[in-house]
Amino acid sequence: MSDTAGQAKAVALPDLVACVEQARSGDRHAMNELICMFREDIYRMVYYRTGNRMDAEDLTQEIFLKVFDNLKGLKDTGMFRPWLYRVAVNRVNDYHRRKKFLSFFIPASEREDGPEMEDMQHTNESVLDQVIKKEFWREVSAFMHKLSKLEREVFQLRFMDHLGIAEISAVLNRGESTVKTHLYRAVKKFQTEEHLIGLIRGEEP
Amino acid sequence: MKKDDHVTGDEMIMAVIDKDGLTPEKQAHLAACPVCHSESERLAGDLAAMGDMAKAVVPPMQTTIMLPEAKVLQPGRPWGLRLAYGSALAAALVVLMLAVPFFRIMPSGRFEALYQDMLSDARLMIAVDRMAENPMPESWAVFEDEFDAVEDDDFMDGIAPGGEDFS
Repeated sequence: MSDTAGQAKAVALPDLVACVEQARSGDRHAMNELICMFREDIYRMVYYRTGNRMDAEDLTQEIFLKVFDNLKGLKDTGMFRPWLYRVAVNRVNDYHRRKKFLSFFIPASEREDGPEMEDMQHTNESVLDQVIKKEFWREVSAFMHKLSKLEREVFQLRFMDHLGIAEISAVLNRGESTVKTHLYRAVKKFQTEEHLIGLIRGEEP
Repeated sequence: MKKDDHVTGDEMIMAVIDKDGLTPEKQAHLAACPVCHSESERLAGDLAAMGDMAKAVVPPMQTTIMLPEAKVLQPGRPWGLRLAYGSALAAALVVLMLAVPFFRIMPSGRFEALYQDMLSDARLMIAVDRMAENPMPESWAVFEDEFDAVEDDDFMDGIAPGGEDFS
């Protein structure tokens, strides 16, 4: 798989760079263009890590505000995408830190862990589809908990957020060999997840 | 092709992560061997399908992303009006500066005179009140009190001898 496999909405890099340059100079139209290009990707990325639609929407908003506030600090406009994901990853980590801190004061029975099931119930979906989705997400969550923090992050960025190795390296500020090593370990563990793989292949209900 | 030539499980994973990480021989084998190629594609397919299924789980976004507030300059007052306001303020300050010494000198003389006038008026009013209550001189007033107090006919005769008694 190439590094450019996950380029957002097949946006040509020169177009993206031009758009980022315009947004840096305060062009609100260019900012809106960038939002349109990456809004869904960032929202999804945040949702995978929070499992809550409203939190994901709020965080996505905050991420874009932060990005536009700090856009002038971006030296290489060609690195906008990994930089955006880096801001997002950091913001999500802040969210989890805050949530962990607050969990000391909130009883376990009132905590919301994992994705909210009502969020997953999209309209025009059969009950079977909904059950499969829930089961799939439960398996994915269980698998993620078996990974180390860095393995989980590189695995999600590579196979769920569709970033390339070089981009992940830039997002996490780690060397490419480190990224590959952790990705290798994560994939090796994935291979042992028979139930999850069965669900993916449609072999298990 | 010998069995030993097939890519190993670790190499299969490496092929999915980064094909360039394999040696040229292994890359060539992976491209040519249907078994290894199939295995590699299967693993890559599972991972890709997992990403697609995860994507399907995500509920649609229901809010729109708002841009940060634009820093728009408020339209200012015309320069002529600004100049007029500035001039008026400066003039008021000048007048105030000039007036302060004047106000500092004036009170000591003016308020002293006013105080003396009020004091004089108060004394006059006290005197008028006393006159209204006691129209006779003070010494007479004392005498009058004694007269009222002592109704003594002999005494009255001494004061006004031979007077007729009209009572």
